[in-house]
Amino acid sequence: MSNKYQPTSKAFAEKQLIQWINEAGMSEGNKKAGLLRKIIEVLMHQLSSLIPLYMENVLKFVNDKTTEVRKIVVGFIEQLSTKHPENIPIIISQLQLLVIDSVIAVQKKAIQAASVVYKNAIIWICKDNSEDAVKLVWDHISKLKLLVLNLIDSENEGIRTHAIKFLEEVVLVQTPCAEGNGGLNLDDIPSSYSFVDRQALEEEAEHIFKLLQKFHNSQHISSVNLMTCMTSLISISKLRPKYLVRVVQALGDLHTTLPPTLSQSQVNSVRKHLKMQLINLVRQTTSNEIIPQLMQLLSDIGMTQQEINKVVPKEKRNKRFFEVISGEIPAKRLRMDSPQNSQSSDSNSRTEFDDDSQSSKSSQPTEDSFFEGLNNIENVLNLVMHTLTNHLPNEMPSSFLTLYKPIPNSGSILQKRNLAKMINSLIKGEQEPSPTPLTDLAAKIPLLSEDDEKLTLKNAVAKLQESTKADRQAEPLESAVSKLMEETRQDFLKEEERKAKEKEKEQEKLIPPQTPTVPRLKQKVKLLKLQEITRPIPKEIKERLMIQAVARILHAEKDAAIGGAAQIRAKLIAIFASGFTADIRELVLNYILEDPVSRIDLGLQWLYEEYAFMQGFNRHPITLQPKVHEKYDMNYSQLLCSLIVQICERGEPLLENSKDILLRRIYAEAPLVSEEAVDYLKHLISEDKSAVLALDIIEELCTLRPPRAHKYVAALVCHVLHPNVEIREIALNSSLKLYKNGSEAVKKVIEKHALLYLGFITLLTPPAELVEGRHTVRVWTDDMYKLCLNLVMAIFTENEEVLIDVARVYGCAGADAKRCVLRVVEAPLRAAVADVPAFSPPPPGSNPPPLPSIPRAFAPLLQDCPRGAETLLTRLVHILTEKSPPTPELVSRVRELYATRVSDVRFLIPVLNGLTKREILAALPKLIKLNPVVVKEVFNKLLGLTNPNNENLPVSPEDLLVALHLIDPNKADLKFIIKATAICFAEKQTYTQDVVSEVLQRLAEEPETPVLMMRSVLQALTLYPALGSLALNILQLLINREVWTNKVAWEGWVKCCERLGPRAAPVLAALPPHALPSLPPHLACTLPPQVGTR
Amino acid sequence: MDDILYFAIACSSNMNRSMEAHAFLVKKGFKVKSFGTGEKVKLPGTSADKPNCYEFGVPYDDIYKDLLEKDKAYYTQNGLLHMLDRNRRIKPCPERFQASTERFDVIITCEERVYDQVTEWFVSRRSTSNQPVHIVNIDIQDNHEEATLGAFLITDLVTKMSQSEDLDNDIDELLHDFEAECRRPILNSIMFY
Repeated sequence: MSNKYQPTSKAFAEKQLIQWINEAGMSEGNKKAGLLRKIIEVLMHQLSSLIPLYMENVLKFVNDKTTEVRKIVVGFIEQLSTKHPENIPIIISQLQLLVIDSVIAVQKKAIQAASVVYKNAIIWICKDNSEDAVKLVWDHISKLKLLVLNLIDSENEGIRTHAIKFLEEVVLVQTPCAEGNGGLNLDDIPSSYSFVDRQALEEEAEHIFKLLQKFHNSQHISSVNLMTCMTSLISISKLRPKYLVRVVQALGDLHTTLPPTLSQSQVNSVRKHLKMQLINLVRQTTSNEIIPQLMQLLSDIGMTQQEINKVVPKEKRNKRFFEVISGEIPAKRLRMDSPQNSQSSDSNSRTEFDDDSQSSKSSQPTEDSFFEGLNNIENVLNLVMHTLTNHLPNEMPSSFLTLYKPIPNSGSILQKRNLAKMINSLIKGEQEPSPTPLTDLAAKIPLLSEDDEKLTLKNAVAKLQESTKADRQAEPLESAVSKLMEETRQDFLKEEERKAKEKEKEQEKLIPPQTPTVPRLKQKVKLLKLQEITRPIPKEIKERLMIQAVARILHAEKDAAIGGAAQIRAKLIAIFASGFTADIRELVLNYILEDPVSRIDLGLQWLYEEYAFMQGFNRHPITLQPKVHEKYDMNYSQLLCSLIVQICERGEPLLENSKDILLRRIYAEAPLVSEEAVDYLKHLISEDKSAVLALDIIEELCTLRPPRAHKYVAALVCHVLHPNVEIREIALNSSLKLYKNGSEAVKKVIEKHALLYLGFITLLTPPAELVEGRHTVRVWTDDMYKLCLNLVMAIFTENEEVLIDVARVYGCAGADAKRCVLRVVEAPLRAAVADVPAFSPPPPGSNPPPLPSIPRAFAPLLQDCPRGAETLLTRLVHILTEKSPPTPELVSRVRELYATRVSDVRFLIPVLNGLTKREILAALPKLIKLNPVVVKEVFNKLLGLTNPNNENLPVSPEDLLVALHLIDPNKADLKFIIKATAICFAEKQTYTQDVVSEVLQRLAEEPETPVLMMRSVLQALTLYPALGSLALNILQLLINREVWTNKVAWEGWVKCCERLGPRAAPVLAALPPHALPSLPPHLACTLPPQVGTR
Repeated sequence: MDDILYFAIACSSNMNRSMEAHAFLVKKGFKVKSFGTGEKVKLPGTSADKPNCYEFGVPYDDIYKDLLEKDKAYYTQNGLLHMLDRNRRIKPCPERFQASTERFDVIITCEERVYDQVTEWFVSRRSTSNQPVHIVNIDIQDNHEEATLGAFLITDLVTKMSQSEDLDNDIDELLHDFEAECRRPILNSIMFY
């Protein structure tokens, strides 16, 4: 079927193809691209025989304006070169055009295709072809090589990437390969053509390899290109073992000096890539010779021995020992080239080593003898001593510092071998004219010191090298600059070369080179790449620049204000100060402190910035070093403290005046007042420096920052014990103010302190807080007690409930302390009692108000009086009842206490008037025994003298006096009773004539005559002579009771009669006769005689 | 058409992470394929020591039916059936990366091990066409939630890459920015077909 169908379908396809080609010529953009794709597809797969015919129809689009179309053309060229290499002479010139296309995407595609085409072209050359065609192609590919070679310095990373891959291909193709599996190599290129010089090609490959190597280890390579380069070098080393050693060394160098521009994850990626490539390399059979180096490198990049063992085949590992012993050349060369050994010969460049290594065979015996010599310790010792004394320069050359690295695994056989080799080369070198010492730069650029007889760019390089060398010797420039110069020169020379060649070609009238010169010149200008000419600024310089920059911003205060940028400037400074190094912090801080009055705003702004970091509102800038970073919350606190301390302690007279305002502002406006800052205030107070201010600030803090007030208040409260009265008073007042207005937490803190200090008084010796620095001997004084009490007393006025605590402490305290407490507590207690309005006396005539109750706070004390605090309680009750009669509630409490706890009768005194008559009378015997002053008071109370408005006395004056007379003399001494009655009689206002007469009458009515009755009658007579008749009645009454039998009463009777004088005659007359003898004689004589006769 | 980047997303089994991202990216209109790099397609079984293993190339549909038969309730509950159902609507079967002959512009891997396997595959071959491919790794844990989060990240990254005028030139910076944005470590390298 196909046979029959094929011709028709082919014809049809061709027809279709022609139609497409026509359409493509007329259409634009994507449509054209689509058509071209179809055309290529058909041409390549269906109508390959027609390629020569229609090829041009596609290739003509090489200058099409659509990028996509040009890319398709590149793809076509690539495919053609692979599948139909006979067309290479035609397509190769087109490719050149595309490689220098203005669009990067096309360029990249072209370079990529070039590597394929290049290889295919060489293969094509290898086949028998006409010499002219071969020459044409050869020239073109040489040109192509140059073009791409220049592109490795393109500023587009993608182009570099592709260029590297192309060069890899070139190196592979132009290097001979001993083994058969290396693919296309130099040996395949026929040497029969006159224009093909194998040696030149190989040298070119060598040069390109070095270029790659240099690129690989350059400082400004991007991570992607670094990996590309690494891949290329390794694949070169895999396929061309002669490069293996140098590649491994380059990888080792790379590992130690990764470009500084890489970020952490890029470094990780690169290391990973390196590791993978190395492992792959280890597995290659070609790498057998340098397994020890590879294993060293693997362990350098952080693989453990086990991992390495896993990766490296066993038989290879065993080789290692053999290798070290025999000291094969590759091993040595690796060591030689590494800069680690350059300490003894740092003036030697790398290339000189290369030269040495070529002649290493001839020097083998001497080298071995050196090696043996080095095994002898004495030799080495002598050598070192000799060098130390004779050859050591007085000053360390600066190059030494940068180049010297400590030698790893020193003392190993390998190292000794290297040393031996170096000594050998040194001795040999001395015989020759001494080498021109190159600067360190020379060592860094491996392209130097090549023979001058090289092809194309080799030439350029060589010339260049000479000139740069001369330059360098003349004036040692900054390395980066000279490097740049070198590169530009190199490029320029290459350019010259290329132009010359182009001219030649033009003369030959072969396919004219379509390379326009303008883009090339452009290329040259483009070469001035910032990345290349700059190197990372050293850290110190960076920091210095940074500081200078900040300093400039700082000094631009006026300018910023004029320009309206003051706000931004402040913000900038704050960010700088908070986000960068300690030096900048210091700089800004000093700046603020130079003139804190006007710059405090800046300081505060900075504080806020730091606060934002501390709280994590801001992300931490990368510039914050990890160390600083960790303690960023300390930055805030440090800044706050240094601002405060510096302002406080600078001691500048100017500052002194504004210190007050500044400190207040800082404390008031800082976002957070740290503990340290509060501590500083405490310190100020304790040092007596601006103590008043500090106290004020603390108080302000407490009121302005209620949520944290309870933390600050402690700093204030502790100063109520301060030795300085002024401070103490302020602290006390402030505490009290805060206590009044503060939150619960604040109150609690103050109370806690108050109670703590209160508790001190129970101690045997005053605690450290009180005597600190004041007394060497710790003895309580009344003042100290008062100090301890002042706070609690202050808050007592606000919170009477502390009374129970006072009482509790009072109970445990010593006598002195008790006395002080009583004295101190008096006033507040009185105040508290007076505060209760119901205690005011009711206005006369109005209905009596409901009886006031006991203040709530005192109730617990009354209810449950702590042991030992009874005196305090008594005092309290006293005060409570001073101004008004005791309430029944109070009375019942007191009564209860008196019955159970307090046996002291004095306790009853305050509430006497609240007690029942019976109770009073029962207590009377005890009461009169008390101190006369107290007794007087008791009577005042009982008689209602203290409170004249009170009408409801439980005991009437009559009752009282009668009761006094009726006291059992056994219970109370007569003496006390007499005194008590005397008090009564002294109160003439109360004990009027009527009262006394009633008392006397009642006494007379008593069944048994009270002992003191007659005495009282006599006193009554003295006071009120008008009572004579009553007295006579009493006397009469007593006669009926046979008064003479009672001796005391009789004496009184007689005295009474004497007092009454003649008026007593009837009474005397009434005496029964048997009583007369007891009558004293002077009275008896007054008796009327008639009586005697009766 | 060549301008559109060709993406490959690779995880170990071409089941969860790569497929989640695949689903996202396809919806957004990217040119994308997904792959697994493991030896076998492994899915959790009813116990940790008994995973369900399948060859690459066994259709999602078959796996779905197999699990349905084994323990419908269990695999419904742990979400495997749902996942397979989604997968079979995206493409027929899991594919192994190492078996693919296509050339991508960017390969995104979901795990360091997968990244290693992909790069190793490249290292072990010799490039023929020198066509570059960027390999980027974003670590994504192998569970549903993380896969969804990861798919968002991958979509972000892919969008950024597609917007780049010249990816080869921008890749370093682009990844650096992306890394700062997603706050995960990123690995990347370049390989050649």
